[in-house]
Amino acid sequence: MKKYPVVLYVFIALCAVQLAVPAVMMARWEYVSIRGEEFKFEMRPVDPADLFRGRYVSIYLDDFIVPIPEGLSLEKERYVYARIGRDRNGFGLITAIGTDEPEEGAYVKVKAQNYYEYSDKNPRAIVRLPFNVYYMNEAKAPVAESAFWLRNRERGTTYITVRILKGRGVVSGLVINGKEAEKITPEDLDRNREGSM
Amino acid sequence: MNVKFVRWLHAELPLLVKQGVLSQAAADRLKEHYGVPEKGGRAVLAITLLSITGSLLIGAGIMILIAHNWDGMSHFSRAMLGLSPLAAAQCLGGYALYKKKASRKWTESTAVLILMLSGSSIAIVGQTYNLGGTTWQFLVTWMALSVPLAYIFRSTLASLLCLAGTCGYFIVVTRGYEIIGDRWPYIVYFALLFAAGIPYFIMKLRENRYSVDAVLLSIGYMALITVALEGLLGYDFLNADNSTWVFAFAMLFTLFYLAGKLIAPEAPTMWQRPMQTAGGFAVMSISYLLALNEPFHIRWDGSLEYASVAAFVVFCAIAAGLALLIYRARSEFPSPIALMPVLFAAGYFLNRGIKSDMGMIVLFNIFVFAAGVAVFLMGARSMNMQRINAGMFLVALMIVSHFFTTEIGFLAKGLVFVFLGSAFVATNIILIRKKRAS
Repeated sequence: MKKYPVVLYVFIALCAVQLAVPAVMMARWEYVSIRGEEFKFEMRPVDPADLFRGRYVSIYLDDFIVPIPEGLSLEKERYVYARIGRDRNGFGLITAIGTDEPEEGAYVKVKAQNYYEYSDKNPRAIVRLPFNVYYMNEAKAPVAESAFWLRNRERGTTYITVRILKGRGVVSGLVINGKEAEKITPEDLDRNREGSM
Repeated sequence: MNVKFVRWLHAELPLLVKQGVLSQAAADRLKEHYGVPEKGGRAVLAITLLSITGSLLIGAGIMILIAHNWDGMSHFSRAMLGLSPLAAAQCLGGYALYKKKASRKWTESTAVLILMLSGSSIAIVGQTYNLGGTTWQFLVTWMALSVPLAYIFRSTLASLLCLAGTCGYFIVVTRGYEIIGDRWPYIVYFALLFAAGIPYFIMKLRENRYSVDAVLLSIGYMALITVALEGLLGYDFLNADNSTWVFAFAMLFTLFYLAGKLIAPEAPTMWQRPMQTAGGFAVMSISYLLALNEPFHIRWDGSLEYASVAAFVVFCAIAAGLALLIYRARSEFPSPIALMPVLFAAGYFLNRGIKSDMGMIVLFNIFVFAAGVAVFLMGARSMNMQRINAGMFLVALMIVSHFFTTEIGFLAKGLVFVFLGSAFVATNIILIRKKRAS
């Protein structure tokens, strides 16, 4: 049997690890995007260009203010688990936070810190959801952004959809003025200027 | 040895033998002593550089293609599109290792290509699944997957790119943009990435401490350590005051200088001893600014920080150790430049004692002036024009700077400038004549 240099075996092992890292990431998130429960969160987008990670829409979601459970100190910002529920309009919201990972239901890991207001009697925390980018085709991202800024939106028509499973969340879609961002065309913008979209 | 000189000598020797200046035996002995210049050295270097540039461009181009975000494709196809260039580059790398291991252009360029594409493959997964992620996580993962490439391919460029990535990671972390909670664990990641590259650096130093590889890696490590110290002292970590900053950098640059003296004592050119050059220059620059009391405005009236005292003790131990090693290797102690941090500590306590800035200012004026005179005298003793001029430059700089910071009439200023200029010219003329005569 032909003997190969040791360095070649080391290199093959490195290649396997280099391919395995993105492959495992893919598999994990693919699983969430197929099996996860879908939630909608209202948002406002802006459109920075980041050549390295492609053209994306920055997602700005409203912060959630939630009661701090007894025994949890949030003087310094830290990670906690947030349970996700729905409001009466079907939009996602944070129902509770805690340090223990919930055994069931939808939840994600979030950053939380104390929230102060003079009228507060019970301690509350300000919580940010970890969904901050939505990647789009470089030609379509500016069109989607223009669609967002062109028209006064009705509440509840511009949002992201997120699939959540076992503490992980994948942004699965962006809807602007009731239409999927990828399907908005420059003609839609013209129609919008005339008053309908 | 200077390759240009060896090539020139090889061209000259047959002529010298023909003209009877040298015997054939003497010419052969000279050839044997200086070695044979590498054939086609420049062409090989040009091809290597072109291959590396090509790899970098291809890697960057694929990243930009991925950034286009091909939304007509499914998640899976997009991810495969991101991974396939990496797999192809890995195959190329395998071929280079198996068949072209002796070819620097093959090993360097394939290592760089794999390094670039392993980054893009992680990025495309993030893009496909809209993972915001954090830059520091991305950089740590990417660098951890890339450091072994330097060893496997013996690629200095891969090692340098890893240093740049580690540097970027530490800047992101110490600026505190994306991290929350206790920050010290992030230092551990940095330390691991830093340590992972060190054996390669040592290997290159052992091969040839004056080679381009060793010089580039020295510069890379100096830059990385300087950035790391800046980050540590910054607002998000130690939040150090002015005096601590100046003191810490003075100690660091002094250690660079001493390490350079130990590692590359007989480098024929300034560029082949980057640690000595950069360290010495930085130490003298800080000393010069301290002599003028600008722009640091050292505070000496606050409470004494025990961390600074501890750092000074550690510095003294390392510096003394390096000085002893240098003495053992060359039977001479390093230049008094290495005493600068000690002088800083003395000036600091002097200021505290007399409750004035003047202690430090006077000490550093004497130090820079004395250093100028010492360099001049050393140069004069060995007839080294470079040293003589450097010494005169230091002395002149001190005099001229004080003229600008004090109220002296234009007439006096003008006369002193003319005098200093004449002294420079006269000294050079005298020395050149002496050199010719000898």
